Amino acid sequence: MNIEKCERKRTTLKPKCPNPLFEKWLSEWKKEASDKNSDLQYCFEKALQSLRKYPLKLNNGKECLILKYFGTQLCEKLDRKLIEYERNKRGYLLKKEIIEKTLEFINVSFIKPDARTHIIGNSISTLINKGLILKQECPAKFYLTEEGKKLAEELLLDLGNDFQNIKFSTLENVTLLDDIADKNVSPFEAPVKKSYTNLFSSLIKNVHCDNETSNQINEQKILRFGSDFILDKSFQYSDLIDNDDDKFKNLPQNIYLCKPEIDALKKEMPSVESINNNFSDCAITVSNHTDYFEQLIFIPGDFEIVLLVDTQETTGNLRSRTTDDTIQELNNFKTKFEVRHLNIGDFAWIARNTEKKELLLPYIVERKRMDDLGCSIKDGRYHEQKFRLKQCGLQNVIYLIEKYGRETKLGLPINTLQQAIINTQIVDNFFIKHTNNHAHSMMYLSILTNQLTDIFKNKTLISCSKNNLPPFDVQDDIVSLITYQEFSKSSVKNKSLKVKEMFIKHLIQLKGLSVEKAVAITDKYPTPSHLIDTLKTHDEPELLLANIRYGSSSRNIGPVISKIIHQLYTNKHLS
Amino acid sequence: MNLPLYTLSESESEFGEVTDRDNIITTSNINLLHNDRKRKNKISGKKRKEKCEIAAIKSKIKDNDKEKDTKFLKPGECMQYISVRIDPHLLSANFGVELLLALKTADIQYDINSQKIPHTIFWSRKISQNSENNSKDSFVIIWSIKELISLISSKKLKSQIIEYITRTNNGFTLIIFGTDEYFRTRKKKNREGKVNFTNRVQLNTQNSKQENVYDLLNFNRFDIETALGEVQLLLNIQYKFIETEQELGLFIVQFTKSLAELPYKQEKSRRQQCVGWFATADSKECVHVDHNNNGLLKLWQQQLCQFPNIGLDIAQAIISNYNSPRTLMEAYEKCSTQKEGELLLQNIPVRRIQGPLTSVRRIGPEISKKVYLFFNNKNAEFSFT
Repeated sequence: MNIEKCERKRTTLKPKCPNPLFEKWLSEWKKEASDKNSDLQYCFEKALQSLRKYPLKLNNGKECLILKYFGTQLCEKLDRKLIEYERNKRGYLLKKEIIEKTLEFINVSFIKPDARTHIIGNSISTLINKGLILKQECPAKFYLTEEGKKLAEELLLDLGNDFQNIKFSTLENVTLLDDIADKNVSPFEAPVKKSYTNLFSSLIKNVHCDNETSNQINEQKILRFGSDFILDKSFQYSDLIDNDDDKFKNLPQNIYLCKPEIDALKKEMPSVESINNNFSDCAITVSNHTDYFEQLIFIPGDFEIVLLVDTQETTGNLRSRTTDDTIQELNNFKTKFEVRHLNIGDFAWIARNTEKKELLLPYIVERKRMDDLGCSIKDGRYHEQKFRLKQCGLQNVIYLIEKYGRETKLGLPINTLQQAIINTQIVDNFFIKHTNNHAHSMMYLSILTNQLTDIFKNKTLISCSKNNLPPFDVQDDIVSLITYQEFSKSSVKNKSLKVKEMFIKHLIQLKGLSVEKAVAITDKYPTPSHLIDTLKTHDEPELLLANIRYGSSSRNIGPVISKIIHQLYTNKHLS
Repeated sequence: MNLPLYTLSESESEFGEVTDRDNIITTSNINLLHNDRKRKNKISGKKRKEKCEIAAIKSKIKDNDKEKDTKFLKPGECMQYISVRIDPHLLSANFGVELLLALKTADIQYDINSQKIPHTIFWSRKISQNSENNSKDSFVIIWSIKELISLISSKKLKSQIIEYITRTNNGFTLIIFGTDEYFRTRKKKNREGKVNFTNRVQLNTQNSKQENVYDLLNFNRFDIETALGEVQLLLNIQYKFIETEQELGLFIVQFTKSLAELPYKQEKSRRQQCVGWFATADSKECVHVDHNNNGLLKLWQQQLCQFPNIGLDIAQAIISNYNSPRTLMEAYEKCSTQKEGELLLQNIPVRRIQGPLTSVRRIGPEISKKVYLFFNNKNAEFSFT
């Protein structure tokens, strides 16, 4: 038996000319180049050949990159041409396209960005009034009217290619434009290039461009400190660098700069650092925490409440994010949540408005499994953590205690842990919530999230700095909350310390010197250099600190400690 | 060195107290008999500290002549001065007996009086010979789960609680008794009901009317949690679920102890909060210096370790060149410019033992600058960023 083999041929569908537009333009450019006797014609020729060999449709210039003899420049040129073509096919322009094209034609470095768009807007309205452009629909689309088209063509004839090459950087060119204005013409080729005449006349009216301007603007930026600073134009930078004491004494004591101003200042005066160090009493304190505090106000209905889950509550692996318990449970309850790194606490809530600004609700949850609790008490982390929770700025602290494992294997006797929990409730005023297992904890959090959403949806939220926070009352219609940024920054575990704080830290290393005593000492001698200098010159150095009173009990520090500190900072040889 | 550990006494206090309470629950004592030496040392250390505290308070007494008041605050003795008042309704409940037994075992004075609010326990503390004072948490209200459910279903929970808040004049803690038991029996009944339809009908007619209502209500844990969540957020009331009588007795005893020691603890935490960070954690490994000045070097070394990037190796490197703060200060004084001072320590080699590749690295300009600024800056508010 013979199996007949059918002969099958493969048929290929080849479009005759897959990229007619590109071919057309390339040949046009080639012709231009050859007319000018430029070598570019050979480039275009090679590209054209290569394009003709390619059988598939190419959608834009960028795709042409795959072909040989097509470089980035050529592809960009093709792209631009394509956009224009599309646009012309379309027949209209959007406002931002107008602005873009406009800006190509003027050198407006001395006009502020806001002014530019304003001026262009004015020009467009003038053109509309003259009946040369039509504005339709929303977002605005600008069409050339019949009249506009006629004028555009006239202008093109008049000025030809020269028009494209005019750059209006000096005032002399404006006279040329005045001529054009007399002829009552409009930009050609589409309301892309706007009415230069109108534009420039308004430019000349609105902008006082002296040569001084650029320098003045820089100066103003840098001198715009604080509220007491005098905008003294004669105040030269060189004076600052010269370390002139007298000049400095006239400055207000603390000038707070925000970050953009700091950067500007640093650019102009690289030795700001040294100023800081040398002039401690009346230095320009570049403050870290006034990072441009803008007041946020959230109106009811404009924000949503989202639960923040600390990254340590979920497993670290990105892959296992989908299978992680916490995330799954929260998804079951359809809670809106987000995983983020929290500096303190395990769960928190934010109110986020449509501009993506975030305020923290005054609740923070610390989840503690029973074995965790035992460990942290033994480690000593327990009290420190509670301290940091109290200082974080969120007034309602919820301690979520989750049952886990067998009661005998928790590291400490169960009664101890229970007593510790009750102490936390009564002494530290935390809200204690006991749950049976992980799922129960997540259910609790979801319930709270829903209820918080209900409670806060009709409230107005105002941002406030941590120091000025009023006590939170859930019944208020207007509540002050701290921003997420401030919360993050202030609850960092190892904050940078000041000299006085570091000195306290040093002093408490001595056994018998408690925090209270150290604070009393540093109140009198804030830095080590103060103390050491006094010890050198005092007639009874051993008892220098003995009679300092500390704490509420007004007890003395005592001669023993005083002597030890004296020996520490005076002896040349320690053992 | 940079671990946030704190003095032994802090960690002892949590379970050290339990050992003092020989009269409380004996199981804890049994656990402690199996302790290792370390814990025993901690406890004795704690007792030592307590003695110091008591001595301190006694000396304060001599100074201030307020003898009567402070006696009531001492942790060892304050339990005697706290009294518990129990509402008789609670005794009739199934946990009543156990509750009294627990209190008796803990040697806590109590009396049974009809209170303003039913089902409450009220605490009162004697702060001086004649006056008493109550703190915010002085009330505990105990409800059975059924009462709670009836309030939730009749939507009177919030109003009832608000009424109690005004009557107690400060907050209170709510205890819900017997939740698990309730759900267990309900599940059982539902199961029985499902299996035998006719039986269910019989059951319904047999049970008392009240129980009937509660069984048919479709309450689950989610509903209860939701209702209580509202109570927490809107009314700021703490609540706790307790399942067995022993648990309840233990809770009341521990609550009493906590209340008794509250003033003492508040005073202690006030003392700790005079600085912006938890400074007590930084003095975990404090150095003892005796009257012969032994230990000063170790103290100097430990002080250097407090800088954030300075570890033991760098501290030792500095000490090998500058034996005391004095020598370091003198070296700084000899420097002619600030710049020189900042870089004084930068080239001191730091020994890093890594087996065959013992590399030598230096301290570096950053650390050198920080140390210089610390010792020479007159501005106490200057911040090391």
